[in-house]
Amino acid sequence: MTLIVRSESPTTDRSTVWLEGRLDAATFAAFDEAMHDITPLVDNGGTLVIDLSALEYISSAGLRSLAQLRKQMHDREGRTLLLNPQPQVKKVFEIVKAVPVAEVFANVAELDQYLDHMQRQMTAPEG
Amino acid sequence: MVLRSVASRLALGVLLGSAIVLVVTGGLMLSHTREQILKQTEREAAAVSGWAATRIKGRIDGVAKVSQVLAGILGTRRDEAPALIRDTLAVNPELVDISAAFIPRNTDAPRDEDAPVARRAIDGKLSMGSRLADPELYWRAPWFVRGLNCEHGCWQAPFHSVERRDPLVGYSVAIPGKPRSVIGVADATISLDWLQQLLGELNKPEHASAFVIDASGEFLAHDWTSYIGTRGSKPLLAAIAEGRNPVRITPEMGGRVSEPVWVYFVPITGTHWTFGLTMPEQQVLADLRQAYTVDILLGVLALAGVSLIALVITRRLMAPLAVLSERVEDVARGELDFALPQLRRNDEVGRLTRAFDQMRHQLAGHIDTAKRIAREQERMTSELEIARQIQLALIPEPHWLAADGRIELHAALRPASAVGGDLYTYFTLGARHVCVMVGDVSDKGIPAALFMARTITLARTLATHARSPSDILGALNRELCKGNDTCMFVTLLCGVVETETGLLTLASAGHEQPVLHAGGSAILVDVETGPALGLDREARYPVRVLTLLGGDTLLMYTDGVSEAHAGNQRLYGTHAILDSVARIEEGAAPEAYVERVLGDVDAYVDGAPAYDDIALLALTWHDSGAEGVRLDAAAHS
Repeated sequence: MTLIVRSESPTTDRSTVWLEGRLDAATFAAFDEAMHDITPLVDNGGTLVIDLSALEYISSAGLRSLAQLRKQMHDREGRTLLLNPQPQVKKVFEIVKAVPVAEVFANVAELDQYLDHMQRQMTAPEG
Repeated sequence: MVLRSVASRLALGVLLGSAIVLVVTGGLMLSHTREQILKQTEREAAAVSGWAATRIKGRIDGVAKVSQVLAGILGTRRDEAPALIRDTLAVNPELVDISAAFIPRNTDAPRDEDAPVARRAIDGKLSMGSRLADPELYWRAPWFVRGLNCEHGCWQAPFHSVERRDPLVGYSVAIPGKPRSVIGVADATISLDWLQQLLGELNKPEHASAFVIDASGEFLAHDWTSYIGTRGSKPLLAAIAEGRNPVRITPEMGGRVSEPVWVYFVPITGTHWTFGLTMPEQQVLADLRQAYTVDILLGVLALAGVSLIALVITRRLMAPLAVLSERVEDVARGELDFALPQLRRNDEVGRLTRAFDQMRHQLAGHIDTAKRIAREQERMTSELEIARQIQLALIPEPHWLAADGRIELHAALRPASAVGGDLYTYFTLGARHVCVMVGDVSDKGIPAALFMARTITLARTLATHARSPSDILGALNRELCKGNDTCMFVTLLCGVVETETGLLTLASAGHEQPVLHAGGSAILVDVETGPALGLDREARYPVRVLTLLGGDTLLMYTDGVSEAHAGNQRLYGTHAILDSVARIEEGAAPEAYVERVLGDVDAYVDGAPAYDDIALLALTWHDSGAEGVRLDAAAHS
């Protein structure tokens, strides 16, 4: 079983990455390398959305990769949001809490709502 | 043996190929040459036959002329017949006799004057006679009857006279007259000896024999004199009748020959005669055979030469290859130090030699590298073994009895490779508390092992003054977050038991839920988890409190147990762990729990290598005397 990484960067403030397969000790290095090319496309303060709908399994090594990715984005005032994990993957996030549960969304609408909310919070003081 | 070399095989191939070409072209050449020779012989024969036929015709034309002139004269000068024929005979030395035979005026009383004949004896003397002297009545004889019908003259059949040995033949012309249109026959006879003589004088090809045959199929003359006067064979006569020229006649066809012969013939105009030439086929083709034999011998010689040259050239070309083959065998044996053949040209062999030389050097380099890597790997292995020993030294003994035997625990640690990231530990906290931990560092191998060492060391140090697992995890988390750029983390389940009361406080940092075996049933203890240690500095860890009763056993484990699998097998799962635990007799020692679960997992993966590290810790509360009430509470710190 392998991991397939696809990405799309329509704007510089938001990129989406789709993961398919297994993210474990055997594939996390390939994932790290792929992300190494994708994260520079997102501006500082931008959002990286990782769509997990086709991810079947995640191990602690995979969680570490995601945590590291989140930390890197965080250091650039960016956000890493996880979208639509399958139940077994979602359960792992809930138990280990390697990334805050609040940053895992069940669908795009929920994600957009969150981003909208965040934007309003940032613009509120001026408006 | 000889054919094992490419050179010999090539030479043999060239020889065989050329031989096939030689045989095919030789066959074609033979048939073509045979036709040519037969055609040439035919031309030669035609020339000889034509010439002979002309000669014969010239000779007999003279005879015919004499007869025709005589017949013309005799029509009106019957009475002068004896004198006329005598004089005519005298001036025509080739004639044997001349007859002027008239139809008798009175057949009952024929007279000598009716049929005078002038004869030339063998000695040349002329004499006169009468055809009445013939044994049969001349006017009824076939030659006379036939002559009457030959107004323009015709040749009679050859015959032998009593006096002469040589065959004779007459030319008869009807004598015109009145009142009947025909009154007699003028006949001039010649000997056929000259014909025989002519055949002998002909400039024939060697071994050829000539003949002249008449319309009835009898040989008038033949080089084989015994054939004279006999009939020609059926195939010959048939061929002459049909005009098939030339014709091949064999003994099998009924020919009067002892071997196959070719017969060429030409009809002699003005007669019903045919001149023929017989050539034995063997003789006709003798030259061909000789020439062909010489050709074949030369061809074979050329073949042998070509093969020899091919052999020598290939040997020369292949010689360096033979050396290379031996060297390759050396390489196969692992010997790389040897001399290669001198490069003579930059052809395929030269390129091969150069490439082989490069290959040898590269191979030597690879072998050196491989040896170095093997040495390094060996060193790494021994270092890993030492690291394993050190890691195991960080872990306390698997079996522990504490609090005067009220607490008994048993643990096991099985790294998937030499070192691993799973851990368990236990220690006392002051006089009245015991702390147990089971943890799992993200990832496996050396980084995980180092992070595990850091965790287990920090845990003992930081826990010294704490009494609540929530505090222990919080302090440990803050410490592990420092400088953790790689985001390594550890999930940890921490339990603190009050040794006086059996009160158990649990807190979890993203770890698997423990199993409690109490009152004959196995249940998962639902501990709300906080984030794994090392990621979020602000993390908080809620506690779960419950009271252990005598004989209760708490089983803590890592995902190496719950997610054990082989290949594409389903994960082992917490339900399977609950089942394993439920089947254990109540009051069993913690060692039995560890052994049962490990045994069941091993049976499940059926000998497959472990996918992940395994840590397992069973804690049994032995307090038969205390009348405790099970307390079960969750609290958020």
